[in-house]
Amino acid sequence: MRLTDRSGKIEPISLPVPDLSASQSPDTGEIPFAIVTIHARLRGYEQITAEGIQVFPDTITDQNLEMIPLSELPSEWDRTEFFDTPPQNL
Amino acid sequence: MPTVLPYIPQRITVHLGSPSSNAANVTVPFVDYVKNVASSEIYPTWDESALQANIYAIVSYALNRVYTEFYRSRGYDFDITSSTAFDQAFVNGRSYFDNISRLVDQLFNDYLRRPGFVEPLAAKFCNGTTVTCEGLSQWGSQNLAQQGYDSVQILRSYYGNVEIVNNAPIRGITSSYPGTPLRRGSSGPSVVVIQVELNRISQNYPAIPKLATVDGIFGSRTEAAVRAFQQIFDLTPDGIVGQATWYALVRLYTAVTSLSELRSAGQQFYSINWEYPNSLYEGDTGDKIRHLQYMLSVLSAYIPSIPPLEVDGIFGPATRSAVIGAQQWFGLPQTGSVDSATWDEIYDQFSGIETTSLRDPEVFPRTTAAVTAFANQNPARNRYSKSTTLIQFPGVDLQMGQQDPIRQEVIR
Repeated sequence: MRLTDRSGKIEPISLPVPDLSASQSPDTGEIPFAIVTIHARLRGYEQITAEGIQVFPDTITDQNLEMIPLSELPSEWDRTEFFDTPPQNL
Repeated sequence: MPTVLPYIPQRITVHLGSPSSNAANVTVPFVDYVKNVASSEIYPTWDESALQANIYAIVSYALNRVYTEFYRSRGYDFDITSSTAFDQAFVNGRSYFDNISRLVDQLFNDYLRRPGFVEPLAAKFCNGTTVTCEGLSQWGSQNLAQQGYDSVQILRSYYGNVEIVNNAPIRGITSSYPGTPLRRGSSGPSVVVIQVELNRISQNYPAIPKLATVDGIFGSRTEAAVRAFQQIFDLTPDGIVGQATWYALVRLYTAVTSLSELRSAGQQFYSINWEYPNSLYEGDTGDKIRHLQYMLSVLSAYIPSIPPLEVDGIFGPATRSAVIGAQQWFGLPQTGSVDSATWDEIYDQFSGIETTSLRDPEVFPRTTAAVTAFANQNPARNRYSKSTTLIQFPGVDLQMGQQDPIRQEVIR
């Protein structure tokens, strides 16, 4: 669980990732990135779930999340926004 | 023959599926679109020259779709699709990679074209392993980069003889980065622009300190504000306004002001009458000369034969040489005075540019006064306002059975 600063950013997080060589040629047979899921919450706003976020070695991944204010009488099913990132077609 | 040069659109509308599918459209800033596509198409760990080559191809391909109005001219309400079977991959809401993001900030207004052709190259590409095509191979570009090719060499090895157009027109018209980085100790009108932008952006991003005085002098407070801005938007926080920071400021400024009251400055020009006056000769003065000079100065950003000129209301030698340049470009007799044919050509060309690229109300504020002045002119004269033809590349004659003329022409 991380809290953003007042500009809406969090400190970068470092994660274990596959070796750099996995993304340098087409036939390594490995997935060359680590996959992350983010859940974002703020009172009064829709929740966001972003799946399939890719993290590569030596690279910072920036995920922008735009929070949508809740209507006054939210129903259960519209409380979460959902984004899924499929892998590159390489 | 009127030809309007390609421009970088402020925003692009993407259809999240194949063209006829029942999918949503999203409209995103063009720079964000390019970052998204580049992050969705390739791996950020590739060599920089491979990343650059792919970004050039992505920008050119998207601009080609916009310029040729490929989907709009077919009755769709979007500029490009997210389907890789038709266009390039776009994943709504995805993450960007910071190195790709920085490269795109530098390259978004550069595109590829064939020498002698106007339109951005329809720079097709595919991954080179499971799918191969006539255009760039993505894995192949990384392979060439590892062998030491630079981005231009990579592009030429796939697309043949192409040239890179730097600073597509939107730059000259809408923002004009001063050309050299601004830093502590700089002064002048460009610094005023930065200070105004920072102050306005700081209303939405309170971590940026407010500047009490907008004085055009880049001092320690301005530097601190620039640093704070750069930290928030993932730019190198060096306190120096180079091209990437300049355009980030412009983007943010236009984004935050479009919601507010600042957007319609300068409406006092609304009543200009663009009808052809009497013939204008060297030595004439007055408002009509001012209008003529304004149109010529806009055209000079697009048409190389027209030199830039001052708008001073006096038909002097500079105005005369601009008129001759315009007459040369339009193929009219080069008399240096303005008759009705010359006026009409200049006006038509100007109004086409104004319609396609200047009327967006969120263009950079330095030109807002001039731009909004022309929003709603005499409808009879403004005959291009609903037409799609002017910004379409004239192309080649279509034959029966031909599918995509662009493809035949530029892929070699």
